[in-house]
Amino acid sequence: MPATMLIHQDKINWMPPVAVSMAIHVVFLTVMLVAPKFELKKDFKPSVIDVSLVSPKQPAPAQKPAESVAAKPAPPSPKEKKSPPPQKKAAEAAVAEKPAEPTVIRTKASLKKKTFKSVKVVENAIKKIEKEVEQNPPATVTSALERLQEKVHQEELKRRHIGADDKTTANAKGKGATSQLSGKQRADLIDNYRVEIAYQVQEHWAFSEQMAGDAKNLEAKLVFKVMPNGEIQDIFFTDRSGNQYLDESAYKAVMKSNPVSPHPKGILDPFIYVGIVFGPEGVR
Amino acid sequence: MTKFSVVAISMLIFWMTAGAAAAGPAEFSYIEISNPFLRKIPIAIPLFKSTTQSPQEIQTARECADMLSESLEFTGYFKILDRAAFLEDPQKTGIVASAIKYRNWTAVGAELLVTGGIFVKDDFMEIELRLLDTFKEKLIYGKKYKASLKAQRQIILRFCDEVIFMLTGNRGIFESKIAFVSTGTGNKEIYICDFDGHNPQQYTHDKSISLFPAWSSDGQWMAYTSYSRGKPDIFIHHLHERRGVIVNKKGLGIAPSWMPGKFQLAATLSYSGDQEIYLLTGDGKIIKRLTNSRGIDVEPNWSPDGKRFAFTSKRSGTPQIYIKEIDTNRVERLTYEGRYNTQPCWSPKGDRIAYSGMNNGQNQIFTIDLDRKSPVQLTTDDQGDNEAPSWSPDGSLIVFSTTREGPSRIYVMTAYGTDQRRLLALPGEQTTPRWSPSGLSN
Repeated sequence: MPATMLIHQDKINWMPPVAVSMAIHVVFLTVMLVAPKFELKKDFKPSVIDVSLVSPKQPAPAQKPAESVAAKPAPPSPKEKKSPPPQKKAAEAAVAEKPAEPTVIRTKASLKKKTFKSVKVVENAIKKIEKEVEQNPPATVTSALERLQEKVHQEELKRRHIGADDKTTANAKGKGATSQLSGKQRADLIDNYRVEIAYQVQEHWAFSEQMAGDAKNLEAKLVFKVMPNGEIQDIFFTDRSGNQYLDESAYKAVMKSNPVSPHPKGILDPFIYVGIVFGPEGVR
Repeated sequence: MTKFSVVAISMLIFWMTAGAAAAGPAEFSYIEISNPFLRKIPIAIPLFKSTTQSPQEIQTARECADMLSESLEFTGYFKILDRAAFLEDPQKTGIVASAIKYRNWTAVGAELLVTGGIFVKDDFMEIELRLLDTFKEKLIYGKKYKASLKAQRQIILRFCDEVIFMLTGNRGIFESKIAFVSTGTGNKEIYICDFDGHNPQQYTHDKSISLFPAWSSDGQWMAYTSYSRGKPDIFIHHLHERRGVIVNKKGLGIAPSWMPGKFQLAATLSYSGDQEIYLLTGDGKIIKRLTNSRGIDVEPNWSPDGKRFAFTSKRSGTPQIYIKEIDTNRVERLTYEGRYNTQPCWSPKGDRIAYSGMNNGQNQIFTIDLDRKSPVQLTTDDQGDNEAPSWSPDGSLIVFSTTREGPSRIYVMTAYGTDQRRLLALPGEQTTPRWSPSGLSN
């Protein structure tokens, strides 16, 4: 009897803490799972702020700058000083929507943002100019246009450059923003690059089904590193086909492709992993 | 207590799962490629090194290298690389594995390399040949042959056979022959040539009509149909000795096929009135009747294990391919597509049957998979009639007759239908080729 009692007591004593512990765990894990997203978003938002700063005149390219504003505490890196005008500090919140102040200098500073949608920038600029033209003598229009286009062009170049320095730039300015944007772009770039490499490998792949002994549904998976200059290193199989000839032909194809095209501009990774599945479809 | 354990266990599982997810192995994203740029193995065969540089030796070196290239190319396995593109000349650098700068060969795309050195004195030749893997940078196979100059071709083919064996594990086709019917003399006579069309020789001299040559599985016997006695009879000849028999039965005797591994053959005889397939001894005596149905049953062709045979029958109204199992007497219809399917030939691997089928009024070569029974057409509609397929002993090639040039010619293609080319050029027309088993001595 006392034993049962004890057990009973145990139950009563343990359940609440266990439940609480579970709850905490669940919350904790959920946070862990979801948190990264938030962080990312946060990071990205600041960039948005930058963007709005950059092109104050223009009807801030229909991004979602609203919420981002708050997030980004303007931590202007020392370098950037020249570009972000001092006033920024004062009104962080205002900054975001700040389309009011059209300063030429600003425009210059906000390169990053413009870069975003340079076409729109041009369009907007043209619109603006058109408006001005209505007020001012038309003589300057063409030159103004040219100037603007030139500016946009330069900004575009700069953006590219910034993209290339990806990480370093990120600290400096809208770190988050750059990384979000370039993150996606970067992923796309890398994906495209991988496809390109796979194509180059296929162009070197010699494989005779007959030699493989007519085995069906073979697949060999291998992965290798591509260095920035296109040099292939560390080829390894993640899955062999079981057919030695296919495995060897895959390996040789990669070897023959070496070196492949160098990394695309804007990718600063020390290397990129490329995985290829060699699955001959059969001659007929 | 139990509740507690349940909770504890579920938490444990939860944590373990979460942990595993977090610490899971790095994943790679893959891009699938399925279309090799080249469906052959690129191989470099530079000119062989002449030891003494005598004109005769240089000439022989060139002939041997060319012969080796042609013979390997014939198999359909290899892409012979152009010598003009080579970065290295083994004549100068050497032919042994240690003397080779493999990068020079991988750079031109070669995955395999054959080097040769040759020494000729009078009628005697010494030749050493090596097969090298340019990526693994190692010798795969090497051999030195000493023989009379006349044995040149034999030596080269033997080495080719070794090359194929090293790469595929199967003996190649280099010591096989092809029998066929040709009208070059004005009569239909049986001829025999090497696997690659070289050295055609007239085999029968019946001055009549000889058809349907059939090799015994040991390559020692030839059976065929001859009209030399006024009607089609089965003749059985030893290929190297002057002996043989004629199957002495009333009516027709056509299209014999030797049972693998046995001195027995199946053939169509009509002495009972209907064309039926019988099993005969190599001496021409009837063992038993194999088919029994209304309508003709012809063209038996054995499975490699000799337990079944394919044949053509009109029992369903149109000629179709059937398979009969000897032990159970079970008959199965194989072809359902098309209204005229004949000339079955079982692949040496046993998984497919080649046959000729009528498509748009013309005969084409098909292969049909015995599992899925899905026919694949190997010859194309705009290339005349294509008939009488016969597999090479390793199952990699199919020889057939075609009228794509006008008169009927013997052609060869891979078992996939690629690399279709003429086997040989002879006067008259050539039909019904039959590939011998491997390992025939030259």
